[in-house]
Amino acid sequence: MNALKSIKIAALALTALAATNAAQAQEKLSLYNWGDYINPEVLTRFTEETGIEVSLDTYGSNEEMLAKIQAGASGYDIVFPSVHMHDIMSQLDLLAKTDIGSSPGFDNIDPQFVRASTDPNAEYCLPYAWGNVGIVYNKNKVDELSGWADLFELAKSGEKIILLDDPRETIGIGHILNGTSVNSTDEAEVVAAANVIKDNLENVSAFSYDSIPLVQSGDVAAAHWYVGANIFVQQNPDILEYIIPEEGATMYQEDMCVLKNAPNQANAKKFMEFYLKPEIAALNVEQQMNGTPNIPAQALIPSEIADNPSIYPPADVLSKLQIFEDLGQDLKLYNREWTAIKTAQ
Amino acid sequence: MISSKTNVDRRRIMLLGLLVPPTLFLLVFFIVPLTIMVIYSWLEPGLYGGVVWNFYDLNYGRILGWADSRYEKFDPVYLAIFFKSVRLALTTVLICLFVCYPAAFWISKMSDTKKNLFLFLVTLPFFVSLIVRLFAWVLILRPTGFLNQALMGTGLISEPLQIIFTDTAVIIGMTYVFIPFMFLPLYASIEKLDMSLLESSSDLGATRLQTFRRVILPLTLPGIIGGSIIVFIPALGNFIVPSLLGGAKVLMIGNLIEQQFLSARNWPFGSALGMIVMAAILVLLVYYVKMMTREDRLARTPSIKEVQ
Amino acid sequence: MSPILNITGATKRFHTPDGKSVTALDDVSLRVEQNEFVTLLGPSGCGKTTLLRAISGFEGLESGAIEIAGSPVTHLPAHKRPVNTVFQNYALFPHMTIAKNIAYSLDVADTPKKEISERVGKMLDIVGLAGFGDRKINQLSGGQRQRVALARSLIAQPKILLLDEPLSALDKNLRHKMQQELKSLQAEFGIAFVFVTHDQEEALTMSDRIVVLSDGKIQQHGTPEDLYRRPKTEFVARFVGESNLFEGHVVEASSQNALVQIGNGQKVSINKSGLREGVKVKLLARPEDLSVGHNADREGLKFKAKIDQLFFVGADYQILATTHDGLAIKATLRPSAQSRDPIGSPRSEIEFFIDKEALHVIAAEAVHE
Ligand SMILES: Nc1ncnc2c1ncn2[C@@H]1O[C@H](COP(=O)(O)OP(=O)(O)OP(=O)(O)O)[C@@H](O)[C@H]1O
Ligand SMILES: [Mg+2]
Repeated sequence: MNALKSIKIAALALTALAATNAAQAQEKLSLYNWGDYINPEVLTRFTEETGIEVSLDTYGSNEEMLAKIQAGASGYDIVFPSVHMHDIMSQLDLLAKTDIGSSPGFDNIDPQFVRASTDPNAEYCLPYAWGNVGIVYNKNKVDELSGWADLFELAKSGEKIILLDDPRETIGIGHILNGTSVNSTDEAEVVAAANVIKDNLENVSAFSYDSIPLVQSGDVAAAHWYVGANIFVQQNPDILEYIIPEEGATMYQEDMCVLKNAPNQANAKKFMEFYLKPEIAALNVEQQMNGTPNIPAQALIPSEIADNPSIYPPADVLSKLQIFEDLGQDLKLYNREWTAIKTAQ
Repeated sequence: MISSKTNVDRRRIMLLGLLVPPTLFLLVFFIVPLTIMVIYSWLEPGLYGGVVWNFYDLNYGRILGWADSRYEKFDPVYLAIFFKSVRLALTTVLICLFVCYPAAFWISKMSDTKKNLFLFLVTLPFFVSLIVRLFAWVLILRPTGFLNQALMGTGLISEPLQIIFTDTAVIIGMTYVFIPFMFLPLYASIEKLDMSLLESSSDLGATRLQTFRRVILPLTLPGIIGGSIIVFIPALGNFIVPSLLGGAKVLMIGNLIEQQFLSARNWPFGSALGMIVMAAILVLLVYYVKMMTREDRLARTPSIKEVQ
Repeated sequence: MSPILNITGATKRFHTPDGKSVTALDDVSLRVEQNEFVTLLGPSGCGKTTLLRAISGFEGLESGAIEIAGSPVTHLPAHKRPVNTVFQNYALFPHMTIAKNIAYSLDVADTPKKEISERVGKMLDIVGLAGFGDRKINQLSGGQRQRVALARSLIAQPKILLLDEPLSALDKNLRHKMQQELKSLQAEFGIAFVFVTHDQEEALTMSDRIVVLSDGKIQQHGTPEDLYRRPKTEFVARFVGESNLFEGHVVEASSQNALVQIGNGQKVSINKSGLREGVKVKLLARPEDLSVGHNADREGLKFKAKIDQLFFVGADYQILATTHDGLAIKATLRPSAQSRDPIGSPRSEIEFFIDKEALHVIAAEAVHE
């Protein structure tokens, strides 16, 4: 009797819960983004304007995000894959068609940033942000640093350096120094690029994403890092400096994509359209210190960012930036060489 | 008669009722994931993660020697990483043992209130996130860090010690992380140790060393072995400490596995590596169980002489 | 011949955590002869264990000295002293077989394997555990464990065997059996046993000599008969055997005799020298010293009393009675062979007589503890 009663109450409570959930579902948006890759202010504004509550989860690499989405992580609406991952996800049929390319505000987007070969008309994703991967260094440890060769010279001289814990970025340095493409699938070229790193391995103290505090404290003289390092440079202009290496560098671009199984498709589209507004894109850049494909936004960005050649490089430097493509099966070559690098000491 | 029979039946049902939940639990949280791992390790890797349902032996081939193609090539480096991990894990176990054994003795002799305080202190680190604690170690061990400043301040060294991002840092970090795991089983067995046995041993003419070897050590052996296993297993598979304190330059088998799932998109190879680690641990556990049951048998079975 | 054990002026204080200090041994001096069975007897906390531990080397002394077989051992660590202990809880090694336990002291002394197995075999025979050598401790009964502990302590032929309440964990029958076995073992090995108990009956039956301790001090030592018949203090009188004690004082003293008047006015002349007039004394009579009825030929004390309780224990009656002037009396009476009439019944009147020869005087200065 009592048991029955409590079951009834539980059932009632459950239906009530489901009802409120349904009511609130209209008001939610769930982002799955790289760590520290969006200005929280943007999210606050969006919530103020639309009443939609935004939640944010973060990941550390494209592959991690893909693995989790594939393994069945659900509930996310929007993800921020790099261009090559955008292509992969299209092929895996993980993305929802949004027709963002035909939204009125899409005119703001510089067409050269619609890069994904699987999505030439931006029917799926919106170009979100871009940047380059260069070197951040401590000016008390080294006066002048202009490129990768300098970086390894510095390491040879006994100063410590840190490279990114990322097979493609780090082997990519080898490609750039060898003059081969960072997307090379030629086994000999990949091995040669990896050998550049192996040859300097002794002088590399770590592979890590968490190098900025160590550069700042002087424990490490220089580190391979993203353009976002400019945030820290701005805070400590006397100590830190960020450069795009003269030999060339890699660049990245992330697109904002809606997942096929997103629970809040409509809200996701709203967020994309919201982000098309120049003032919103500019607001994000102001804090992120990276590039935006939004042309009118560039006029609204504070001049110290807009005029910073390491963020918005001149055309000749820009032409030396290479962007990663999906290598398919050949990614294994890079992973193999990566393991070899890690065990070469 | 009848009533006793129904009694037996009732007991059987009760036993069944008691056994079903843990069995289900084991099935869902242990057997099922394990089966997935075993199966995946024999499947072809999907291009973008996941698996293709074709039988594929090259995952093991890469590790054990029969793979030879552009994409799947045998490389002794995987076994080398495995053995290096075993070495680091064993070193961690030994250091933990050396630190915890005397400490556990010392604490077991304290008054109850002090004892409780120290036991609480031992478990205190569990209240703070592991990542945060490891970052604190980065701050301590780096060249301008606390340790080097203290040592240079006292004039013991003139140049900062290069500890961070080395094997040493990884061992320090793992020792730090796993000390409570070693301490608790050790403490449990030392606390149980009857101090009058030590007096009795010395009364019978044994020196301190003899008492330690012949009485203390064998009686605390279950704690030593238990603690060692509890430390060894997670230390062998650890990937957080080597990536934070080893600067990802110190590669352990756990990092390699993590890499297969989170960046190399090669789940089957990751599963195969995982199976190799499991196999090693299984061998260790079987050996342990065998040893323990042998001890037990020695203690229980009457010898032939007595039966006469 | 020098004593096997000679303790002089042993003093030991413990400091408790709350800052107090307990004197566990207070100027204890004791000699034990070769082949002697000495029992330390006393109430809980009187320092028996402490004294044993001082002998075995587990407890250091504040002052005093200990010699074993003529050589000083006061500063020798436990493992170097030629004494072995049978612990109260036996302290057998649970991870070793019985043979290994017994062989322990030979093992740590690097005795050749062959000799060890011979001696262990012999020892197992002696304690009646032949064939049990391969068992583990948890497969033995309490009495068997006791024997293993004995065998283990005796195998290295110590000069002295110390036993701390070794029988207290055993049930009564087993206890009696083990008492006899201990005695015969001692005879067989011909070494001194120092035995601790707080059971006075056990002490009386087993010992060559008993040492009564109280508050860390030796109250008296002597043969069981000495202690029973001639206790020096009320404490000893009460602790060893049952006793009736009558308070009194000396009214007349001569060189050989003393006339003592007890509380109810009766006077009795005691054959004892050295008592001064006016001294307070206590007269001790053991329950079996009491008889029924008045014997006109003999001088002594008589009491009219009422029986409170009466127990028939086979040969004897044990009687608890109260005299008309309020003294409690314990008596053990054996009916004569001729008359099988009951001695009395509860609430019936009875008249006790104590022969003056049976009375023992405990002098005043020793009366209060
Ligand atoms: N380690 C110690 N610390 C403090 N006090 C102690 C210690 N050991 C013994 N004592 C004290 O010394 C006194 C004598 O103790 P001991 O153990 O010798 O008594 P015992 O005669 O053996 O008593 P029992 O018959 O109960 O075993 C007691 O008052 C006891 O509380
Ligand atoms: Mg005692």
